[in-house]
Amino acid sequence: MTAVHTAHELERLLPHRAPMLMLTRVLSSDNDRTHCLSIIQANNPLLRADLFPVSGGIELLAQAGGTLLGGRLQNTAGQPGGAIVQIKTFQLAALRIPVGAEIHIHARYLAGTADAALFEGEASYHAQQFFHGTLMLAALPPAPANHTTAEDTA
Amino acid sequence: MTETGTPTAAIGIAGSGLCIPDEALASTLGFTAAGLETGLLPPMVRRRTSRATRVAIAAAERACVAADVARQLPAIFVSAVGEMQVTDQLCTAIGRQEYPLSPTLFHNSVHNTAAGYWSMATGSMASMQAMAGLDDGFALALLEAWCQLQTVSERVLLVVYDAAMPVHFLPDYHWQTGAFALVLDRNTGDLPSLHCPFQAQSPDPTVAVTDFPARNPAMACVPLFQALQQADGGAQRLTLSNGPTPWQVTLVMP
Repeated sequence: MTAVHTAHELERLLPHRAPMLMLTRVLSSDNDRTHCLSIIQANNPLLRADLFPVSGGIELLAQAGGTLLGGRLQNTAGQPGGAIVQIKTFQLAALRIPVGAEIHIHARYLAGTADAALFEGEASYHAQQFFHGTLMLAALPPAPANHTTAEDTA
Repeated sequence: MTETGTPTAAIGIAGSGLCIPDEALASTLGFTAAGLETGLLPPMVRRRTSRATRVAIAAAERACVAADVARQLPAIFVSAVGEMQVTDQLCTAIGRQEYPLSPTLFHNSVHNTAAGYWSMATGSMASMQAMAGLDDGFALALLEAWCQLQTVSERVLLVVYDAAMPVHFLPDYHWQTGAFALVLDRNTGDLPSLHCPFQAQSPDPTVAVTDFPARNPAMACVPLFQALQQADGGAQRLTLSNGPTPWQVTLVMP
């Protein structure tokens, strides 16, 4: 299954908004993996001296994995109350990444549920991999209203 | 995401154990069998370890026995200040220029001391984490355990502990030493279960506020452990921390 998302569609899957929404579109995805594209914008908040840092691959992978988790949530429990990302492992390689660079991010689901999942993946620029890592993403439940609900006592 | 099973936000409590060396305090809180017995540690090791480490290991041991599981579980140890008594001894020695410093004290002063002794005593090669989160420690450790159970672990041992602080560090605080441990299971089955903890946007007037975290951050576990003892069926929301946006969790008893 191939899916190409617009920015509007991405905003339904991720809580991020520009300029923190760094994915430009999803090139392809299925239940277990996704291939995303990020075109580095001039207002990217991670830029240092007009270069995108290779450590920004953490954020890119988190957002790519988030599209998979977000899609899963939309099929089940709806919008989460928030999300957390835990960095399990990562490796970096030095690379100069200018504004306008097209970065390809591949994320693969390793284990988990609709609520939290482990992803691994990498980010590349001009076919040169500069980031590889493993992240845990978890969707947090929204805080219930301040009274006991029927759902609580079910 | 295939073969993930039925999505669930709940985790089971397979066993629990606690250690409150002050018998009067334990009795006041309604707990029995809370003494400081650490038979798991060989006598020589026991003499070297701090009170904080011993209460943590005593509680962990009880939880594993209650859950009837092997002790070689992935474990999360959380403490607000960890080995502050040991650190205080080291700082006092430095102040008095009593060199060389004790290697044993130095070895025992790190935040993962309890986790390290637990892994050595049990021969566990499973992952061990040492966390700190002050008053939110229990809530955040529970969240970490929930995440691990959703992703990579079938069972997790969670140990929350804190020893009394040196009086001259926090003279206005009178922390009471205590440790609480849970063996948490990915599958709820017929077990008491916990939903994912959440941070309320404001204190909930229908959820009892406790002063336990002020007594010692680990004491934030007391409402949950008291609820587990009562064994009343149904769901109830419990406070895990205080403040304007307190952490809470829903406990469902079978």
